[in-house]
Amino acid sequence: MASPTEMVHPDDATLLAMIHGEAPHSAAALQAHLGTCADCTSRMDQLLREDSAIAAQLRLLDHPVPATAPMPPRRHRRAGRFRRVVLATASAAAVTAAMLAALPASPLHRWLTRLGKGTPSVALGSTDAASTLTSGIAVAPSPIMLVRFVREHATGVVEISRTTSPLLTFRSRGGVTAYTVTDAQVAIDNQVAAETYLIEVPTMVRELKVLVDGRLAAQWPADSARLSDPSDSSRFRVDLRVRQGRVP
Amino acid sequence: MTDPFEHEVARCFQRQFPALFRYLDRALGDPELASDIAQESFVRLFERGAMPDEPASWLITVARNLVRDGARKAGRRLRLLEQAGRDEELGADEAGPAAALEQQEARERVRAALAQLPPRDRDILLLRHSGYSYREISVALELAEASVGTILLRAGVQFRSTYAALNGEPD
Repeated sequence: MASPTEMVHPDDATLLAMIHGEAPHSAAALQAHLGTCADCTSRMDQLLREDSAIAAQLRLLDHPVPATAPMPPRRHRRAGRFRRVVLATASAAAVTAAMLAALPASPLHRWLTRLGKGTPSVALGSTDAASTLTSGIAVAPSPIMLVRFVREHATGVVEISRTTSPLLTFRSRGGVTAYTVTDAQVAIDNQVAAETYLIEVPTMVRELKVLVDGRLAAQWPADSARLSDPSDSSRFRVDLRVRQGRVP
Repeated sequence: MTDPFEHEVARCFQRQFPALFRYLDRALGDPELASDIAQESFVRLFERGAMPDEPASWLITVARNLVRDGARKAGRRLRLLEQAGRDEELGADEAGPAAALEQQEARERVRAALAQLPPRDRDILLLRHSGYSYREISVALELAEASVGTILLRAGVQFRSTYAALNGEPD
């Protein structure tokens, strides 16, 4: 039987799936193979560059996500109630974002300004501040990784998954964020509270620290008791509200 | 007191609306139409009365059906290529007219390259880059999940090749 490092080279579709965090069942063996195969690592790097280029080109087409787009005339009373719920939610988000964007000193304003000049200094998953569910950053794996949130929120929850992908990916759901990537460190400016921030971390990262508003919120594997699902050893959750802790 | 289902749909809206709008906006090239269709999809979800097993996929399916229905009823074609006018506002920033023109030309190349993809390949490429998972895409488009990656790779290769040719770059 072939060892993982002796396995057949994965095809490009498999490598692309790994880049997208869509690890196949044999991901562990693939990861082991990638660690020793320069050819596959090179192909994966090339695929990542090409995928990132496509993402950037598609972003050229984007219009801003409407914060309070009108609902069509409703046929049923229930739909009218739903409309109110949705519009109230969207309006609150829009007002907050607009206020932040209008303040010259605010991170959102600076971020949008950078985008407007076409020279963003941050690695962005999307050109739209209100966009969510988009991954798109990559950071070199290292034995120790820091994920730093600029501010605490009452509602945000960070979910950190262990993934076989060699890339770290970040997604937010429901919030407005900007983030910068430096070596083995991601700083997330969570300008509006998101329901969930999901961070997927490469398996080769042996130690992970999560800081919220400058304070240590959690670290892996020391806080593995915080696993969100005891049956799932790959994910733990970190509440963004941190009242106690220490700066490591 | 808020109906639990209303609350659930509102949360789903928060999570899913941006990605659905993003996909429709890129596919149609018309933000107003994209917004209308995305919202109508959520209204249909609300009227359904219960959450589907795969909400993201369900919403994509409904939105695509609405696009098709709308195109049939109004004789309206998908405006993937013809949307130069809508893009004007995207280029009107502080970068200056030369940069805006360059951006506009790049957008036209992107639309032209997308238009040359087979419809299913184009949808998969757009859905993936709007943030949907392979599983969500496979359920929405009724494909085997294992085939999504292969199609995505093929679509990406063709898109890049066409874009490069339009940009006067060697393949």
